[in-house]
Amino acid sequence: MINPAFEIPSDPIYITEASSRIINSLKDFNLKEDVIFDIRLSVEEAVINAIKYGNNFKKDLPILINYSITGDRLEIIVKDMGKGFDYSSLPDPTSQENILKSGGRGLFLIRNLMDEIKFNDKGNEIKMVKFLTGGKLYGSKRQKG
Amino acid sequence: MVVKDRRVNEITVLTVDGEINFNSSPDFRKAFLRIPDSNLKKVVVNLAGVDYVDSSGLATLVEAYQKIKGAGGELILANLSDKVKSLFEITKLEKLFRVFQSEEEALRNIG
Repeated sequence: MINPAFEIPSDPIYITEASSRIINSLKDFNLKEDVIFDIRLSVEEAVINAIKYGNNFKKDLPILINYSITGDRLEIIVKDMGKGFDYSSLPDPTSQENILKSGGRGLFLIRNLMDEIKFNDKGNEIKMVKFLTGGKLYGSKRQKG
Repeated sequence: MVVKDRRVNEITVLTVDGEINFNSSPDFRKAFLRIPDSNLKKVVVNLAGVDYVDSSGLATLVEAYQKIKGAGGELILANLSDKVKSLFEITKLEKLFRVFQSEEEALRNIG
């Protein structure tokens, strides 16, 4: 499939529009509800992070979203206009000292619901991969690469 | 999202219908703030009508848990869908909250 790309303003009212656009394009795959849930939540968490931390709610700054489907591999890229962050040293939200904290679960959920995630060096772009017919949901993570 | 509250004996029951997400979480938070301090001892949140919760929704529940615990009370959850329950397992919040399969069971076990 040719990579469809679109952008949304950094306004939370567009969060669902972003996920719906991707989910709607997957209709022909007859995906299980669980898989759709994982994709939707991951896209929305990535978009929320981009709006909140990347673009600081500045509505004039866009969030760039790009996705492609190759075979059963869905790849979604969400990019903000921010200066990025150090994705290598994120606290574990499940640890005793963090479990009562408000933040920190969004990216953790993405890591658990998608099959692969990767950031660009700057840290303002996240690439998420979901295998539509045989990823984590099915109990066996696929070989990367 | 709509949150309805009612009292069952000494217990406050919040019944949530809809999605608890980034945009609806502020209203969910307000539903807890509306509960008078005197009614915070025993709170059951019935999530039967909720099929989508994001990290903002989880954070709001954690916030409410702390507020109610701080007031000497207990917040317990009932009727989680399989998918919502799986988010509690992934984030280990299942260790924080007591979760019951039905509201009736939650009402019997609270306090």
